Amino acid sequence: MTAAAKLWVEITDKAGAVQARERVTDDKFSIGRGYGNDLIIDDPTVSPEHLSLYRDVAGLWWVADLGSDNGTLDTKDQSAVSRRQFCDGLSLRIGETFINLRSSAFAVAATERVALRATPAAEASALVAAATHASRVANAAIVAMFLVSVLSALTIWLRQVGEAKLVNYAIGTFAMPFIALGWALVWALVTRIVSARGQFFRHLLIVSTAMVASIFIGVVVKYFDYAFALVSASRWESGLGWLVVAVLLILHLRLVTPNRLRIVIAVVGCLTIAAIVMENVFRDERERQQAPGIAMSILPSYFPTKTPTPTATLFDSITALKAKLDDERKKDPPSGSGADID
Amino acid sequence: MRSFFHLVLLLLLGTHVLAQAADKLGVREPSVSATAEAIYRDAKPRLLQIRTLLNTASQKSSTGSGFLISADGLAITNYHVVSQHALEPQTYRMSYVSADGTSGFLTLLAFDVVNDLALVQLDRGGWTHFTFDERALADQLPRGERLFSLGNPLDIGFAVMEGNYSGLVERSYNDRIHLSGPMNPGMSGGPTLTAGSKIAGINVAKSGAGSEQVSFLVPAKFATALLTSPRLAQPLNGSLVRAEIGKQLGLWQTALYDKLDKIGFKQVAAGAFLLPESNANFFTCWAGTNADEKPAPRARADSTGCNMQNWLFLSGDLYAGNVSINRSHFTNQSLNGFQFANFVSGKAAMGADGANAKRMTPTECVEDISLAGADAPLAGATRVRVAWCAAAYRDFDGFFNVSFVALAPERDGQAAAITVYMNGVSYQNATRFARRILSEFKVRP
Repeated sequence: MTAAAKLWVEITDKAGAVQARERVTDDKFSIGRGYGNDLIIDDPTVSPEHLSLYRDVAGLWWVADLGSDNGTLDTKDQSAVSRRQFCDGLSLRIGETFINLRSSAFAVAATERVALRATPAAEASALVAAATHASRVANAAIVAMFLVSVLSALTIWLRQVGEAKLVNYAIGTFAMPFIALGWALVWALVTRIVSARGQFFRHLLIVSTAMVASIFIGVVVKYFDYAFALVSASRWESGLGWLVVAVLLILHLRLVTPNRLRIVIAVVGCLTIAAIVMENVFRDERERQQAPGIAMSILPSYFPTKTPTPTATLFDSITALKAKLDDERKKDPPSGSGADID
Repeated sequence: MRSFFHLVLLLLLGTHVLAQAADKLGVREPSVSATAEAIYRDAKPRLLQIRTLLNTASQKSSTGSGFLISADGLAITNYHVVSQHALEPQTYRMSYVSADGTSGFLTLLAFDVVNDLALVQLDRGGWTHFTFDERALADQLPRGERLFSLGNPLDIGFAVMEGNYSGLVERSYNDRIHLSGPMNPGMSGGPTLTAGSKIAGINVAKSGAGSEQVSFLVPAKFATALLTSPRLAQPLNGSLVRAEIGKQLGLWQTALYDKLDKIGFKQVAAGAFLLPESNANFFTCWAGTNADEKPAPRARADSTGCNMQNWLFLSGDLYAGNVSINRSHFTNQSLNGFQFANFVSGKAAMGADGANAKRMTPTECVEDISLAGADAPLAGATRVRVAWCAAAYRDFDGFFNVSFVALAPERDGQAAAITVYMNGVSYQNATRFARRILSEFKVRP
C-alpha cells in the first residue's frame, strides 16, 4: 500500500468538529456497532455491520453500505449511499453518527481549530487556543456592543432639536445593546440545541456589527440625500437595510448549521429579494393612494455638495418630467372617456 | 382637501342620510317676514329641485336647486349640481321636480365651470319665470339690502331664508357676492332674490369652519352671460364636456398666472433673507410661529401661508384653481449645526397632498440643488435645495397639481424656505410661476 493510498476515518459532531480519528491500515475496513468491526461505534442507530471501506483490484477505494437498517447518507445532499467511490472529504451520516473520509494527503487548515483529544498536551494547547480565540471574540463583541451604544446616543444627540430628554438617550444607550444581547441569547440557544456549542459571543458580535452597519448606512444615505439632492436615497436605505438583515441571518445560521450554508444562503437570499420586491410594490401602491411627502434632509452648510445646477438646467429637467406624467396619463385613461355617448 | 379650503358647496350628497338626520333633529319652519312670505308664494312655481339620477337605478344620487328664466323651460343651476351628469352622461341623468310636484328630464345646454353655473332645458314649456335685477347685473346693489335665498334645503321642501347683501367678496379672484345669511345643503343653484322678486345672484356656497351666516352667491351677470354662450353638442358626450372644461379652465388659469406675474411680488425681509410675497389682493395670509411654545423652542420657525381663497369645482372629488405660497424663516438659538439642520429639515418638509388615484396620475418629482435669487453665484444668489412634484389630471388634458419647494440651508444661523402649491395649472404656467418665485427668493445684501 502506497502512502498516498492510506485513509483516515474522522468521527465528527453535527457541526463538523472532529471528535476522533481512526487510521485505515488494511485493504478492507468495516464500521459498525458490532465488536467484529475495525471501528466500533457506540450508537444504537448504527447497525452492527453498517459500512465497509475496501480497495478493489485496480487499487481504487470504495465505500459500501452493508445493508444497514438506517442506511448511509451523503451529508452534502442527503442522498442515500449504497456503494460509492472514495473521494477525499466524503462526509457520511450513519445513524446519528457523522463521519468524514480523508486521504493521508489532507491537512487541517492552519486557521481551523481542532477539538481532538489526542494527547493531554495537544488537548491542553487546543483548549488554550480555543479559549484565546473565544476571549478575542468576546472582547470584539463587547466593543461592538459599546459602539452601538455610543453611536445611538450620538445619533440621538444630533437629532435633538427640542428639550433634551434623558429617556431618549437611555433608550439609545441601553435598549439597543439589550436588544442585541437578547437577540444573541436566542440564537445561542438555538445553536446549542442544534449544534454542540452555543457560541453566544459570536452571535453577539454578529448582531452588534449589523447594528453599527445600519447606523452607518443611515448616515451615508442622509449625506447623499443632502449633497446630491437625492431624496430617493431613502429608497436605497431600506434595500440596504434588508441586505444587512440577510447577511445577519446568514452569519447566525452559519453558526447553527455550518454544513448547510449553501441552502441557508439560497433561502435567505430568496427571502431578501422577496422582501425588497414586496416593499417596492407596497410603496408604489402607497404612493398611488397618497402622494409622497418630500422631507428634505439638510446638513450644516460646511458639508460639501454638488455644484448647484443653473436655474435654466433645473427647469429643463422639470419640463422633461411632463413627458413622464403624460405617459402615465395615457397608460391609464379616465374611466368611460371616449365612449361616453349617451 | 387641505384644511384652509373652507367653502362648503351646497350640493346635497347622500340626501337620504341627511334628510333622516334632519327629521330626527326636528327641523323647524323658519319664521318669515311678510315680504318673505309674499316672495315665497310668488317664487315657488318658478323654483326647481334638480336631481341627479343613477341611470340604472333611477334613484337620486344627489340633489340641488334651480330656477326658471324663460317660459319655454330654460333654467339656471350650479355646475356642481349637474357635474356628475356632465362628466359621466352614461351613468347619470338629470331630472327636475317643480313645486307643484310635476317632474321631468333635463338637458344640459351650457356651463361655466369658473363661475359654477349651468344652463339647462326642461322637457316642457309653459312656465312662469324669474327676471334678473338690473342693479344686480351692474353690481350696484346697496350694501345691507335685504335679499331672500330660495331652494330646497336637505331635500325636505322649498324654503326661503333672509339675508343681507354685503358686497363682493374683497379677497376673491373670482367675483362672488357675500351674503350675510344662512344657507343649507341642497340650496345650491337656487336663486337669491331682491324684495322685488328679481334675481340678485345664484346660491353657491357657504363658509364652513366655525363661521355663521356667511354665504356666497354667484353674481347674476354671469348667468346672463351663460345664456349667450355656445351650446353643448347633444346628446352629451363626456369627452367633449371634459374638453370644454379644459378649455374654460385653461383660459381662466392663464389669465390668473399672467395677472400674478404682472402684479409681481414685494420682498419681505426675514433675517438674512428676502422672501417674496405676491402683491395680489386676492391672497389671504396667515402667520404662525413656534416662539410661544412651551418648553421654549431651541430654534425659531416663523412662517406665513398665503392662500388664494378660491377653488373651482370640477367634480365631487376634484377641485382646481388654487394657488398657495408659504414662506418660512428659521433662526437658530441654542442648537449645534447638525441639530439646526435637522430642525429645518423637519419643518421644511413638503406636505403630501392626498392623492386621488381615480382623478390624478401618481406624483413624480424632480429634486436638485440650484440657485435662488439669480442664475449665477453673485451677490443675492443663494444655494437652495429644490423639489418639484407634479401629478397630472387624468380627466383633463394638460392640467397638473404642482408642489414646489426651495430651501436655503443654514447661513449665519438662519435658514429659509418657500413652498408653492399650484392646483389645476398648466405645466407652462406652473414652471413660469415657480421660476419667478425662485428668482424673488434672495439673500439680503
